[in-house]
This record gives sequence, structure tokens and C-alpha cells, in this order.
Amino acid sequence: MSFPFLLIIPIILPLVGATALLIRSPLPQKAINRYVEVIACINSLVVWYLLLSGQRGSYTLFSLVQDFSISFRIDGLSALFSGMISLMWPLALLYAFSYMGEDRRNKRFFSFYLASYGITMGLAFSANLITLYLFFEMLTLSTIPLISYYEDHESLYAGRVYAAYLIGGAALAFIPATFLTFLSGGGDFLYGGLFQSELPVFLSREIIDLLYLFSFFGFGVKAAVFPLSAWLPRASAAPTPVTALLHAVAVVNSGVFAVMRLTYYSFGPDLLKGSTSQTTALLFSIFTMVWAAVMAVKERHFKRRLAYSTVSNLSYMLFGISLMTEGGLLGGLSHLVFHGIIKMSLFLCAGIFMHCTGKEYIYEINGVGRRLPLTFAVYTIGALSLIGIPGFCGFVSKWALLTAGAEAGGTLPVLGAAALILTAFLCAIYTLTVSLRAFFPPLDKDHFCGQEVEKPQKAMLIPILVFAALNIFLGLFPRTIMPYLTDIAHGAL
Amino acid sequence: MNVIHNFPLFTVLLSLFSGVLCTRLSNKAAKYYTAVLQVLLMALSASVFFYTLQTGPFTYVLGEFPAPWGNELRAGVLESMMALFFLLVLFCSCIGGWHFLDEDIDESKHNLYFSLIHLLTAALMALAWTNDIFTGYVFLEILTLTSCGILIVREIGRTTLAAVRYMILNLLGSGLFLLGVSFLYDITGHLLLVPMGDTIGQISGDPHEMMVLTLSLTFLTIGLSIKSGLFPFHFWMPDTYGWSTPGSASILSSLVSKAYIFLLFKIFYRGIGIEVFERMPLRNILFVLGLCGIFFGSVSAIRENNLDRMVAFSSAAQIGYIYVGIGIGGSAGYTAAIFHIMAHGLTKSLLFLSAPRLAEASGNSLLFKNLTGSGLRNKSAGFFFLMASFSMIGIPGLAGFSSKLLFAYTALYSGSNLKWLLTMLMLSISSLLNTLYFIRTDIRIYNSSFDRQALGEKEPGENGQAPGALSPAGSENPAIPEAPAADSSEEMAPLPLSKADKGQKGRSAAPDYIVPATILILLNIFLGLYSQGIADLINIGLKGF
Repeated sequence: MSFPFLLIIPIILPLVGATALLIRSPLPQKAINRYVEVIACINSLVVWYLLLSGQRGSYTLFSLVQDFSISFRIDGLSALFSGMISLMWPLALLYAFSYMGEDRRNKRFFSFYLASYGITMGLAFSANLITLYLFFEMLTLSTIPLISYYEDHESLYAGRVYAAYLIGGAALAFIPATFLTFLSGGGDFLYGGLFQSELPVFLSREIIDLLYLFSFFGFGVKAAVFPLSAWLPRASAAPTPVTALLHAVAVVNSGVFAVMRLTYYSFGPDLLKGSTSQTTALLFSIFTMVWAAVMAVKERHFKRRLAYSTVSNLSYMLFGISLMTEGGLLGGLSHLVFHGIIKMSLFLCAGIFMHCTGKEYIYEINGVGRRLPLTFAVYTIGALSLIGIPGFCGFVSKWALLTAGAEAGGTLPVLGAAALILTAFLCAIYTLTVSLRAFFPPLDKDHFCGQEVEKPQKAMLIPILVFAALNIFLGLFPRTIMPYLTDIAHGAL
Repeated sequence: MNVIHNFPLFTVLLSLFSGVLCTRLSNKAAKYYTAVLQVLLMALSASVFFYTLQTGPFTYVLGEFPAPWGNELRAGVLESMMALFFLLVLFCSCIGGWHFLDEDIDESKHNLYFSLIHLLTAALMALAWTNDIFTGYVFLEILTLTSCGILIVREIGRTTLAAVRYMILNLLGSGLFLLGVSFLYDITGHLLLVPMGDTIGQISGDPHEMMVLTLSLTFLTIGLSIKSGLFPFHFWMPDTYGWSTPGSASILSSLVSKAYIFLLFKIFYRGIGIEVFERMPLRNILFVLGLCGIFFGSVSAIRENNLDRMVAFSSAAQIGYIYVGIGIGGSAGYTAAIFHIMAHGLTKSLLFLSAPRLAEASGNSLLFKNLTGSGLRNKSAGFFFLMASFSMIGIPGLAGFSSKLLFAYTALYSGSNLKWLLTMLMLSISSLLNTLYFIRTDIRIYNSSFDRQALGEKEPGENGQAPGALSPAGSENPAIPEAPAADSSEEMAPLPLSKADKGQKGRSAAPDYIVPATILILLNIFLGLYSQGIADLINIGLKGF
């Protein structure tokens, strides 16, 4: 039984709900919370219904010029991405309600927070390049108000920087998107590439390389590839629920997702393997890994440090993708999922710290572990997982990436694998120093000695516990999900 | 002969006579008469449109004198579409600008303003329908004079200065145009476009004649480029559009400059013949100038700190797009150019109608620093401005994006990799630049911290509402923060602080704004979503052009 039109429900529902909330007269905070949470939960249920009932048809909403159409479809990759996002959104909302408290701007905040849920779903379900581009742009626009939430100088500037980088990147990606769509007559994603049989005659090698690099950097802006990564640390000026859900998972992963779509489903790895563009992509992703990790060690602001760590980890995925092998895609996919889980929990812990103490720098952390034991225990679990200690899920994906790099052979893939190990050390430095400061402060520098801090609310603790549990569970039993990811990487789904 | 064949002439004559009539009408009567007449003209053009869609284009010979002595009007799908578009935007701009007339124009001159609008309509209609290059020249002059008129009718020093500059440049353009016309007449012996094209087709092998032809085309093109504001002649735009009354700004930017381009296109396509034109290097020069216009227009817009002037500079960039389309050539290129004429006209008029309303909610200042939060004080203006700026940036679903797609498509099949690459790069650079200045504006007008600033710097007085009450219920009676810096920078402020009571002017939900703005945005979305249909129509029009 197949109802392809159902695909647009999880996209439309949050958008309509958000618009209704935005134009409605002011509501009490409780009503807003309940309304938003109910819509998000219903939406997640619809998504899971769609995924489990195996909808495979495609639905075309309308056609623009020539072969351009807005259409949706679920395949393995989109099922993975949408499934992951739909699990995280209700939990993040739960956290956001207690974090945001009561503020006159919350109506606007939650409207856009909800709207970006629908838009991310649209991005996940998009069946062709132009739909992907549409939701890519919309995601940027809907998150600008979230970044500028505090409306002070820093966050307004962050919003402008964010818009300039992301819309500029999309404008760059517009070139290959239209090009591929025109040439392939629709640009519907196809595992292995759009030009499987023959290449158009006038398409020279250089043009393909140039186009691929445009799309790699254009869509890669959201994945914060160097030198286009400055927006991500700056975007930490947003409230933590935004930084956690959008700038560690939804927005940045949609960048990675788009690069996957471009590489494996549009250009095709066979076309790109061994080309200049592959070398360039590998070089930039390896450099970003190391550079961002070094920057994270240097950074003293808690959330910005985590943001730099996100930049580094996103480049792991880009490295995996630009290996142009199935193993590389598997590595990228698994890191996409596992890093999302880990980084969510890390950011949410950082948010609890900031919310309860009102402090935001790492040198202010000394000794807080005894006041917020649960939070920092979860933080440490996340940190260990991010480093890649066996037994946590971060290990699984790093292992997949390492083996993929080694299997691919050649200078750059091996160099990338080495960079992976190097950044694991750097990661240990920049994450564990926080835990150490929190639990074992130098005796004379315990900022929280004899000082009470506000207790975190239950609604903030539940999400981080869920993520910590997922972290350990997937680390101990990776077989629950890895075969599925392997199928996707082999194009079987 | 079907009665519909007379309609093109009717549209011209009706507006001409209405121009005379309006001088005798009272202010109010003139206002409503204009709106009604424009609807009537729209009906006439629409019937021509549907008629030609079924039966193909027709030529109307004035007074039954055949060529080469007589004068001709020619109506096809494309012409009637343009006429309809001109009238629609004109209608929306007039109604949207009503509200500002009391403030900007002397009480005794309202009817004269509408009389100018009618003459302008007549010129626009004539340029859309005419098949005779000299008639084109005559109405070009009428268009120039009336557009100077609706500019200078707002009597502040800056508009006088802007109008004088605009007029000198325009007359220079007209002079060059006339030179070009006389050269063309010299080598072809025709003023009617179709026989002229035939003659040029015959003589195009002769190098001497071709030299004269190139020269005359250069004059024609430079003349119309100055008038339409192609780079490097775009410097008059911010003064002209920035200081005029909003209705005029909207008409000048979205219609007048487009009518010149349409005439130029008509001469290229019909008067020169498209095969001859596409062999000339002129095409590539237009392409390059268009690209430069896109770039420098956007860069100038970024440097502006005044909303209207910023929007005006972005016009320079959009004019560049149209010339790029003509420069790439081929039916796809012309389709893209004409589509962009419409897409940009709809968007730009909306921007020019919305900007002053945002300013009105900010103590009549268009400076960025005073506009903070204005989208929350005047919600409808904020919303429409937001939508229009999205269309300018090229968010899918709006007309701006569809025209970007059409340009991309055109460039890809232009047969030259260099042109393709240049166009695509310029498209993306221009989107980036557009983003920089439009998103900056959007963030600013939706910044809800304005009330805190305003309250912090100035005592709220008796209407000291709680900060929270402003943003949700602000549409009823917005507390206007007295722009603190408006006085110190008076010479920069485009609008003098209004003497009218600001309390009465919280008319954010005024129908004379909502109606035209809604029409414009709906048309914009229509163009954005059904762009294929529109492009097909333009294609049909081009075949019979």
C-alpha cells in the first residue's frame, strides 16, 4: 500500500503549525510549549509511520521551468536522516522549554524552531537537486531568527554572517544543481550517479571538476569546511537548544547530507574518482579536521570549543565521502548518526552548565562537577565517545572511517587516517580538560566551593540521559544499526 | 475587421484624453477616475491578449494609409502581455502611492499629478504597441517629460536637483536615439519596423552599409541604455528613485526603464532583424556591460545606509540581468530577459511601496539605524518587504528564482562555455551580494529590541506601553520611537519629518496598501510557480513578434 502524497505531511504540518503560532496573538508560555511539543510528536509519529510502512513512491508537488520540479521520495539515505532527526526534535524541544523559560520573544523562537523541523524533513525527503536546493535555502532563512534571538550586537552580527555564508554557499551550489538538472532531465537522485551510461559530449574533465568543487564547497558551507567555517563558532551566540540541535545536527548534517547526495547520487563516485576535484576535496577535509581540532584546543569559550569540535568532526564525514568508495560512504553515514547523538549530549550538557551557573567560559568551570554531577557524568561519557574509546558509539564510526581510509590506499587517504588518529588525541585534550576541571579542580581554584548552584530541571536531564543511553547502547551493540547503514552505502536501499 | 483590432489604439487615445480631462477634475475625482480608467485599459489589453493568443498577431494601420507613409500599431501576444503588465503595475503603484500624496504634493496639484500619470500611461501603451520607430521616438520624449514631471512634483530641493539631472541625461539619450533613427532612415528609407528589417536583411552583406548600421545601432543602444540605467549609466538611479514620492519611484523603476528596454528589444528584433543583430559584436558588449551592472549595482547597494537608495541601486543590478539575457541571445535568452522584466517590475514596485511605510513607522526616516524593528510596528509592510526581498535574493517559489533558473538555462545552451561560466558565476555572486544587503535589512526591521532602545533613550511619556505589548499588538497604534538621530542627519534624510500627527498614521492595515501589495505578491508567486507557462507564452509571443 503506497500513498506518496503522505510524504508532504511531515513537511507541511510543522510549517503550518509554526505560521499559525507566529501570527497568533500572544499565548501563555505553557500553551506554547504544549502546542509545539504536540505538533512535533505527531510529526515524528507520522515520519516513523512513513518509514516503517516502506513508502517508496515519489510525489511531485509541482513543476517549475523545464525539467525542474519539486518532488519528494524516501530512499535509504533519506530514511536514515529523517529517522534520526525525528527522534531528536521532540527531545530537544523538551529541553528547550525549560532552557528558554519565559520571554516575550519565545513565540517567535518556537515558531521558527518548529518550522525548521518541517524544512529539515523536506530536505531529507527531497527527490531531486532542485528540491534539495529549495529546502537548503529555506533552512538557512528559518534559522536566522533563531541565531539572532538575543538581539544584542553579537548575535545580530552572527545572524548576518550566517546568512552571508550560507546563502552565498547555496548560490554557488545553484550552478551545479541547475547544470545537472538540465543535463540529466530532472536531476532525480540515483545511486551511482546521474550519468551512468554516457557523458554529454561537450562536458570536459575540467568542467566536471569545477562543478564538483562548486557543489562541494557550496553545500559544504553548511558542513563548515575550511575556509568557509567561520560562521559555525560564531553561531554559538544562539541559545543552546539552537546550537545543539541545529548547529551540531540538523543544519550541519544537512550540509553533509547534501554533499552525499551530490557525490554519490548525482555526479557518481566513478566519475570523480582519481580526479583533481577528489584530491582537492580530500585535502580540504583533512586540513579542516586538524585545523579545527587545534582551534578547539585553543578556544576558551565552552560552546565555541564544542563548535570547533563540530567543524572537525564534520570534516571526518566529508573525508569519508570524498574517498568515493562504499566504505567511505559507510564511514560518513555512521559518523553522521553517531556524531549527532554525541554532540547533542555534549551541547545540552554545556547548556545546562550555562543555564544553571550563568557562566560560559571553560576557566570558570573548575569544580562545578560536584554541583552538577549527573550533567558532567553524561558530558564525560559523550567526551569519551567523541574521542573514540571502544565501548562507545564514537569508536564504531571512527573505526569505519579508518578502515575505509586504509582500504582506499594512496597518499591522501592514508594521511587522512593518520589525521584521524592525531585529532583523536587533540579531541581528548579539548574535551577531557573540561571534565577534569569540573571534577578535579586545583585546590585553590574551585570556583564553586561552598556555593550552591541552581538544580537543573528534570526536563533538561531526561534528554541528556536518553542520549547517553543511546551512546552506550550503540557502542556496545553496533550490530543493531550497522547492517542497515552498510545496505545504504552499497545502494541496496 | 474585428472590433478588438481597435483596442490598442483606444488604450493610447483614452489615456491621452484622460490626461487632458484630469486637469479639470477635482483631486478626489481625478484619483478615482485614474483607478477606474486603468482597470478599463487592463480589460482592453487583456481582451487583445486573449484574442491574439487565439488568432495570432495583427497589424492596425492608422487611417488606412499603407506603408511606407502610414503609421502602424502591431499587437501580438508579447505586446499585449507587456501592456497588461505595465497597466497592472501602474495600477498598483498609483493606489499604493495615494497615501503619500497629501504629504508629498501640494494640495492644488494632485489632479495634475494624475494627469501626468495618464500621459505616462499613453506613452507606455504606445511604446508597447507601436510598429514605427519614429512614433517610438515621439512617445519616448513624452515618457521622458512625464517621468521628470512625476519626479519633480514632490517639491523639495533634492527632487528638483534629481529631476534636472535625470532630464539632462534623458534628453542626451533621446538625442542619441534620434541620431540613430535618422541614420537608420538614411540607409533603409523606412521608419516602419518590419520593412526596415527587410531592407536591412538585404543590405547586410555590404560592409559600408553595415558600418552605418553599426554606428546607428550604437547611438540607439547608448541612448536607451542611459535612459534605462545600464552600467555605467546607472548613477542617476538612487537620486531619482530615492527622493521621489513612493508611487512615482515605483513607476519609474519598474515601468519606465523597462519600457525603454522593451523598445530597444523591439528595434533589435524587428527593426534590425534578429539574424543580423546576433552577428554583431554589440551583443557581447551588452552582455559584458550587463554583468558589470549586476556587480557594481549590488556593491553600491551594499554601501548605502538609506533604504530607498539601496533598493534603487539594486535596480541597477536587475537591469544588468535583462541586458545579460539580451546579450546571450537566442529565444531562450530573450525569454529570460522578458520574464525578468516582469519579475523585477513586480518585485521592485512592491519594495518601493513598502519601504516608505516602514519609514513612516520609524519617524519618517529611511536611514537604517532608525528602521530597527519597523517590520514589527507596521506588520503588513514588514511582511511584504520581506517577501519582496526574498524574491530579489531568489528564494524558490518566487518570481526572482524562476528568472534565475531561466537565465541559468539560457546560459547553458548559449553554446559558449565562457558565457555560461561568466553568467553562472555572476548569478551566484549577485545572489550573495543581494543576500548581504537584503538579509541585513530584514534582520534589522524584525529586530524586536527596538522598543528597549527607544524606551531607554527617550521617556515613553503617556503612551508608555509595556515593551511586551508592542510587538504583538503594535499594528493598532504603534508607538513610534522618535528617531533620535534624524535631526542631526537631516540633510541625509530623504523625507522631511512629517508635520502631520503621527498618532493618526498608524494605518498599517490601510486597504490602499494591502490591496496593491497583495496583488503584486500574488502575481509574484504566480510567476514563480507557473514560470513554465509564462515562458511558453513569451515564446509564442516571440514567434509572432
